[in-house]
Parts: sequence; C-alpha cells; structure tokens
Amino acid sequence: MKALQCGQERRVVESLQSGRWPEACDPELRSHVDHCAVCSDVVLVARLMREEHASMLADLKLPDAGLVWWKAQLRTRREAAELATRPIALAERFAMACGLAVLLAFVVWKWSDFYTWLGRLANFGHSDARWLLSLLLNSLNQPFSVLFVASTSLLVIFMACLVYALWAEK
Amino acid sequence: MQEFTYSELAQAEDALPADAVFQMDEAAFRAFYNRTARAIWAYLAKVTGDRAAADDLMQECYYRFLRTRRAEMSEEHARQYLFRIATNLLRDQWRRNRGRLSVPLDDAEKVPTAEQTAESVQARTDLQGALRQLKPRDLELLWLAYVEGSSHAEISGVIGLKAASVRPMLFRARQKLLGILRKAGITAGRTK
Repeated sequence: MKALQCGQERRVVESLQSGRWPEACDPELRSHVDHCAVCSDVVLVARLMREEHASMLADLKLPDAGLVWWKAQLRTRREAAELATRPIALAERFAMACGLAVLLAFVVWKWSDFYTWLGRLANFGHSDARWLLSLLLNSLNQPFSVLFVASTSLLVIFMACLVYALWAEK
Repeated sequence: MQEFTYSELAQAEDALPADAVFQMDEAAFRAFYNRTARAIWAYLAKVTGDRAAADDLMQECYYRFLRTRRAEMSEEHARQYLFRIATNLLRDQWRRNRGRLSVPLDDAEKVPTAEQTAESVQARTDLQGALRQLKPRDLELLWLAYVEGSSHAEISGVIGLKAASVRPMLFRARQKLLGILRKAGITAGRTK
C-alpha cells in the first residue's frame, strides 16, 4: 500500500512555493524526490496546478478595490434602509389584511342580499334599475345605513389608494 | 428589489453607528484587497469553473469579510478567514447548482500567443479537463495545499475539516488527479 505521507512533503511544497525548485533547491531534497513516490507525486501535481494558476492570472483584470469597497458600502446602506422601513411595510400589509377581512365579513353578513342582487344582475332590465334606485333611496332615509354606506365607501377608496401606493412603490 | 430615495439612504447612513459596520478603513482595505484579490479570484474561478460566478462570489466574499472582520485580526488570520468565507460561498453555490454542469472557463477561446505552442495549449486544455473531473472538495484541498501552500492546520481551518482528516483526504485527492492525468497521458514533462 502506498504511503500516505512523507516527512519531506512540506519542504518540497515550500521549495515549489518559493520558486527554488528544482534548480535552486537543496540537492539532497532533489535526490530524495527522485526516490520518493509520495514526494514525486506532490511535485507533479503541485507543478501542474501552479502552472494552471499562473495561466489563469495572466492578463487577468480584476475590479478596482475602490469599486468593491463602494459596492459593499452601498449594499450595507440598502440593508440598513430595508431594516428601517420594515415596520412601515408590515403596518401597510396589516392594514390591507384588516380591510380585506372587513370586506369579507360584510359579504358574509349580507350574503343573501348579494346573492339576490347577482341573480338580478344576470337579467338586468329597466325594472331592475328602478328597483335598485328605490333600494338606494330607501337606504338613504335611514341614518345607520347612510353611515354604513359612507364608511364602506371610504374603506374601499382607502384600500384602492393603498394598493396603488404599494404598486407605485414597486 | 425595493428602491429607496436618496433621503432614505441618507437617513439610514445617519442611523449607522460612528464606528460603522466596517472595522477597516478604505486605505487598509485597498492594501488588503491588492494583496489577496488575485489569489481569491483564482481559487473561486478554478473550483466553480466559471469566471462570471467567480467575479460575483469575490464581491460577496469581500462584503462578508468587511461586515464580520474583527479589528484585532492579524494579516495571516485575515487571509485565512477570507478563504474560509470563499469556501463557504463555494459550498452554497454548489448546493444551488447541484446536478448542473458549470460552463468551462473560456480560456480555450483565447487565441494562442506567439509564446504558446499548440502542444502547450493542448496540454493546458487536457489539465483543465482533468481538474473538472474532480469533486469541489478535492479541488479545494489540492488548490489550498499546492497553489496557496497552506499547511494542513490552515486547510482544516478554511475547509472546516478535522486536522487529522486533511492528510488522508489530500492523499486521496492527489491520487485521484494523478489517475485522471495518467489516463489522459499528461506527465510533468509535457507541460513545460
């Protein structure tokens, strides 16, 4: 079984790293490598990889340090701004969820009326328009209904503005 | 990505503490970058096999280094820490791209110069092909050991292995590469 290690392996790597191999290194080390399977494998692999490394770096143009620094700073500031505005974004989403919940509750509460209205809408005619108008006029006679219609209308307008604002922000 | 106005960015900047997030001034960073960038880029490019990915990963690497570096780090420790970050990024990249082959480095598209012979270009192409057959972990081990000249203790710190595991794993990686090279007929004499 091939030996896993040789005590001179580190010296061989250092010799390659410093550029002394093979001409300027210790002749004893060179002689050792000629007779050591582990160290000769190390030399072969290390030389090939270092040549590959040198080829990769030839004509390489890396970004300027200032650009890397600036991009890192910009990203840090963006992340800080996102962190700072996160509560506002959460509040917006919460308000939207509340509005949707109110709308859903209203629809469930007045489901039978909606169902009838949808049915009428399918066969909307002149008599239905008059029915709708009379329904609206009757509602306006009752203060509670006026308040309810007004608040529902305001809620719908608010939600529409909120959706628009979020869309415009994106 | 969310856009911010200049005033919001300025407010965020004011909100940052005076000693800021980076525990390194720009001049020190420039000097450190100039000493380490080529080595880090080569490491990332060789393991990913993709120059564009290496560019992005290098930026991410220095960003994370600036955000987490401790002021009392020595130069050697900082360099090792940078390679540790790079290795972790490579690991994440590999998990994201698992099963997808990377695009080979486009060096083969370069026109050979007068100094390069057809044989040396072919030898280099063969070597690149051989290296691509290695697993990322094996490539990392070989690169750190024989290109960066890292000791086994340093390699264990960068890759996150036990120090005692580095030697046998490095041996196996070396043997694997030698097997591939011998099958391809690449010997030491052919590359020079």
